[in-house]
Amino acid sequence: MNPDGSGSMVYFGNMHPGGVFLDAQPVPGSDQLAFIHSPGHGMNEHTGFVATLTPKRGPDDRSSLVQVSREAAYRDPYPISPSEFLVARGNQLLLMDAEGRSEVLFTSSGLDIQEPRPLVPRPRPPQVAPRSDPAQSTGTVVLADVYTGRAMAGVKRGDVKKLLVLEDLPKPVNFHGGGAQPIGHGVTSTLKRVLGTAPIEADGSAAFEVPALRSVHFALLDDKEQSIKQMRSFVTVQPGETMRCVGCHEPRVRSPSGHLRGHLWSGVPHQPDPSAVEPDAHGPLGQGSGRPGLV
Amino acid sequence: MAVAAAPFHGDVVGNLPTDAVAVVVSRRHVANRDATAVLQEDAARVVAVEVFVVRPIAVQSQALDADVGDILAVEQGEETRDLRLPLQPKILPQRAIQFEAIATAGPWDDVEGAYLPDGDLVFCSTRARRYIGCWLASTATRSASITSGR
Repeated sequence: MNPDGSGSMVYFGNMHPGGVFLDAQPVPGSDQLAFIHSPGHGMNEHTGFVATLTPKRGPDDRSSLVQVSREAAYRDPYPISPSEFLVARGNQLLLMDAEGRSEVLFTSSGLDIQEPRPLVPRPRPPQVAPRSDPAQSTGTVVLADVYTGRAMAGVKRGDVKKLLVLEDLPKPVNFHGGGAQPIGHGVTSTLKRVLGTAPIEADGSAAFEVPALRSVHFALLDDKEQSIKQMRSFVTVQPGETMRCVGCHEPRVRSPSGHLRGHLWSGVPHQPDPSAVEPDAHGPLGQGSGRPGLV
Repeated sequence: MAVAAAPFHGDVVGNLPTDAVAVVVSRRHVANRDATAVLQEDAARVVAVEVFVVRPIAVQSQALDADVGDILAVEQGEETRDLRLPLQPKILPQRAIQFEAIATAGPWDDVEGAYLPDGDLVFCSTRARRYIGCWLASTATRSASITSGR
C-alpha cells in the first residue's frame, strides 16, 4: 500500500489462505519484509513465527515466504539487517539470525517485552508521489480483459455483457460469537448491495467509477444477467485513484497480452448504471429490489 | 501529561546491537501494556534501564521516526486508546517526557500509529465502526494522515 492508501495489494489473498501476517517491517539492505506469521486465526499478543517475504516473484508465490524461527513463540520482529532481527519472547529481548538461531540479550524481572525498536537514526524511506485526490468521492477501475483469468473454460468472447458492481456493506454491530449467524450460514458474513452495472467493450475491457473508500467486488453477467464468475474478495480505491486490472482472477504477475496493449482504456469511465439490473427473485445474486444509488 | 521515570530491573545476558533499544513492557499474560522502557548500555557494557510510565494511562504501542526525534505512542485510556506524541523530541538522556494527544478523542480507538516518509502520521482507527465478519471484536481500519489532514 502506498502512503496515501492507494495501490493496496494482499499477499497470497484467496490463493493460499491460512495464517495471519502481523507487524511487518522493511528489512534494511534488502527488498524483504520481516513480520510475524501467526498460526490459525492468530495467537494472543501477535505471537507467532518470525518470517520474511520478498515481493520479487509476485504476491502469490509461496516460495517467497521464509519461516525464520523454529517456534511460534515470538513477537514484534524488528530487522536490523537481513541477518539480524530484534525480537521479543515473553519477558526476554533476543537477537535472532536468518537461520532462526537466537541469543537472549535481556531478561526482565516480571514484565513482558514487546516492540523492540533501536534508538538509532535510520535513512528516511523514499517518498511516493500521491496517486489519490482527497477532493474526489470516487475512483476508477480500468479492466483490460474480462476473458483473461482462471475458470473461463467454455466462455467465449462476447458472452460477457456486463460487469456487476457490488459493495460489501459495513458491519457496524455484531450479535453473535461465531458459528451460525443471521446473515448467512457458511456463505458470507456481510450484507451486499448492488451499485450498478458497467458495459463490457468488444475487446473485453471495461472502465467505470466506483465510490472511494468502500469495499467493492464484481461479477461477470451474461445476456440473461446471470453470473458467469463472481469475485469472492474485494478491492478498495482511494478518492481519485485509478486501479488497473489485467483480468479477473488472473495470475497477478501477468501483464496484458500483446493484442490488448493498444486497446487499453484512456477515456472517460462509465458510471455504473443502478437501473441496469432487474430485480429477480431467482437471480444468482438474490439482490432483490430497492437498490440504492451509486454513492 | 507528565511521564514519570520508574525503576526497572532485569538480567543482562547479551550485548545490545545498538546503543539503546526502546521496548514496550507489560505485566504478564495481559493485553494491557504499561510503559515505554529504554534499554541502554554504558561503557562497562551493563544495560541501564529507564522506564517511562504514563499515569493513569498506559502505552499500548510505539513507533519511532527516522531521526529518533519522536516516539509515537498509543496509550490506553479508561475507555479508549488514543495516539499521543511526546512534546519533547529527545527521549535520551531525559528522565521525563511530555505526551500530548494528537488524535481527536472520541468513542473509538486510534491504534498502531506509524510515521510516513514525509513525516506525516498514519494510524488505524475503529471510528469507521467495522466488525470482523464472524466474531464480536471490532476492527480498526487504516485512517487518515494527521498532519496533512488527508
